[in-house]
Amino acid sequence: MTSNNSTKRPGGLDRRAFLKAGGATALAAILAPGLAGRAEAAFSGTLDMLAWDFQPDTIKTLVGEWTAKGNPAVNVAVIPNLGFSPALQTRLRGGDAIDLFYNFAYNSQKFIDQGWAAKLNDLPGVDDMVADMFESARPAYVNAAGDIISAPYFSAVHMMHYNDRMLKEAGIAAPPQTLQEIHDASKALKDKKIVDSPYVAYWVKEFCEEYLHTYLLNEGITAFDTAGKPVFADDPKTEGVFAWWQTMYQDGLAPKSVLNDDPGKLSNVMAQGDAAFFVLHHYFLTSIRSLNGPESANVMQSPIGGSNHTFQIGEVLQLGQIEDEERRNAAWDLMKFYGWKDSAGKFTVFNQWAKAAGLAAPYPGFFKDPDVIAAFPDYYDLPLISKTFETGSKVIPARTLPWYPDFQAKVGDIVHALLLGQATPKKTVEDLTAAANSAQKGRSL
Amino acid sequence: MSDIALTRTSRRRGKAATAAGLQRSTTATVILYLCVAVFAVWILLPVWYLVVSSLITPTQLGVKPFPMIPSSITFDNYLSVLTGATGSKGFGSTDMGARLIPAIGQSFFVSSVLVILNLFIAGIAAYGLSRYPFTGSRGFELAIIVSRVVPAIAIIGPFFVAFRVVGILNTPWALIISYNVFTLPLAIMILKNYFDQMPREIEEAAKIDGASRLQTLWIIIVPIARPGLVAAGVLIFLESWSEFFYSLVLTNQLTVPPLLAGFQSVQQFNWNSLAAATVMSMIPPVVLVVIFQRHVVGALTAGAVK
Repeated sequence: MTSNNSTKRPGGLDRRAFLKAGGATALAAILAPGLAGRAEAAFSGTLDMLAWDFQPDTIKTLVGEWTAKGNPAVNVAVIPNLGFSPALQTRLRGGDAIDLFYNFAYNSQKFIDQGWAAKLNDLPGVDDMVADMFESARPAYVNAAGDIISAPYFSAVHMMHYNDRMLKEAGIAAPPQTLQEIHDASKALKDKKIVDSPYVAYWVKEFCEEYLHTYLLNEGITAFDTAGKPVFADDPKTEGVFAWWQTMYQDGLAPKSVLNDDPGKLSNVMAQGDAAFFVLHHYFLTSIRSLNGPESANVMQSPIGGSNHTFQIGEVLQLGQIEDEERRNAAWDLMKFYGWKDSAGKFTVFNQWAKAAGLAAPYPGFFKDPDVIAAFPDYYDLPLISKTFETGSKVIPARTLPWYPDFQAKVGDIVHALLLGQATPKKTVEDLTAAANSAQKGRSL
Repeated sequence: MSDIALTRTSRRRGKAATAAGLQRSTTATVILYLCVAVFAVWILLPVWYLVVSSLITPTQLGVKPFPMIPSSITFDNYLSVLTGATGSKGFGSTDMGARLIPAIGQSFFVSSVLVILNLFIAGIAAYGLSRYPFTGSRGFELAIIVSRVVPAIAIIGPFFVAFRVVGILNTPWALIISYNVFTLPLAIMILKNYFDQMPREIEEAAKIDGASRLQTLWIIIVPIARPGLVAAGVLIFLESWSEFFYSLVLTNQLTVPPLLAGFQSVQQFNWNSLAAATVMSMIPPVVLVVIFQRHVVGALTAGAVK
């Protein structure tokens, strides 16, 4: 916003005016660093930040770097990701003042509505931050009313991880992209006894909701409209998606244990050569490769969805409700540093997360930053991931709405009933529609 | 003393049963031992799985079938947990070494203080309920038991506000105070049951000798009730050691359970390091139980052969 100030073009410039303007400019140049420094040091207290336990030493180092540049000290508290949401809500409800905190995207609008998090509109530079994002990512951070509710903590896209050696052995020319291609390739690998259960995915109940969107988007189906109305039921292709999902499990193309397997195990399954396909966030390639299993080096990454889309996800940072203006500005500065760029325009924080685990940021500039490019191991096709963010993926804006967690909590049971053969694809569509409608009508749990 | 008496009683019964011709047949003995063996395997297999997981590499962990007896072992997982060398090769915490040992220390402190505090309060309460029943004391006992079923999420909010006002959030005292909600009823239940089994004649003799109620409790009852107190103490210690939710909300990973939960980080797991950290954090309670197991079993079965 600050960089978009319109400038009035002067009608003319005489000698006196030129000298005045020159003197003023020189004076401003001399005073600017001091003023800037004073502005940075306006808040002299300590900020409070709450994060979940992912490399807390790295969090503290990054925040320490920010403080070392003349910014306020930050008290970083870390609690586990497991139980983070109830713990954070209990703390905020109990009057804890947290200036900046990690949050799950699905909680972001709820926290604004509850008054636990502040809208970012009108904060200096926030429009530039939003403008800097991939267009596809913006609806995750800006709601339908135009309120900016959060900043990115990290982002990812669902990608296909495939075993190149197995595909070549089966005579499959290119990695499958559409659901039908995935089914056919999996069946071919199974029939040729190259691998018994070729396809794995993180289909535990808590995560089925992400796959619901991934598979629907793969077939060009949008689950919810901009108002949050469940429109997937109106699309005739939806039943076909569920029929595919059920077939993959019932026909043994995915292992029976997949309803309970964690991503660590699934990565190992790929590394050991016990599966050929694994659809999950792009950064799981790091996990598979770093396991150094007999097939790790053969696992590659490719897009899914064909001419349609894959699912883009991410968790967020939110700013606490801060009355004191100087404190709020200081916290916002920290938020910009942590969820966007540092004062030198570098993606310092995101670069660290890229090094640590291959996490990404929803900014085109992130993928062009030489430091970021160097941070990703060679086995990543960064232009492909960048392109997937830009044109090959979508976020689901409804996921940030307050009622959404209620719907999310029901998806696992409904999808598992489908996979276990207890429900038909048609009934699954009906059940999911009913779950979405009841969640929107009020608390349904 | 009491558990020795109980053991003697059961031995006498065993001998009486044998004398009456009820000696167990070989088949029954075999079946019994088989059942015990199956039960032991059922209990110990997960522990063995955990120990093996802590001694193998992530690659070995993914091998099918799981190597219950690994061909090679490594202590790298323990080293990485202690030195924080999980680095960028592993996910989750990278400074676990700097945090695990202090967390074990804090867990030990919280649990130990709680044991002392609970035995004192619960000892007096249980003795009072056992020896001086009052109108409605049975209802009072039931109320104590019922208080254990109140879910933590329902009462954590008021605790948080109170501790924030007092300024003891993220300190061991926040946990010591809040853990009483579930440890104190447990201690009262165990000790009340234990006191009920103790003969009253000794106390009456002390009273005749001029001892006050508190003197009787301290000089006569406490030494006799030592096995019961030890058992209650061990169980309080274990409950406190493994508590997760209060510690999650009221502190920033001050104790072991929320610290171990930190190994799961947004769909990413480091099972080997988690296994190593879990094995290390199991050592204090396991040692405690091994030392005092005789008392725990004795006190918990007190009353079973009444």
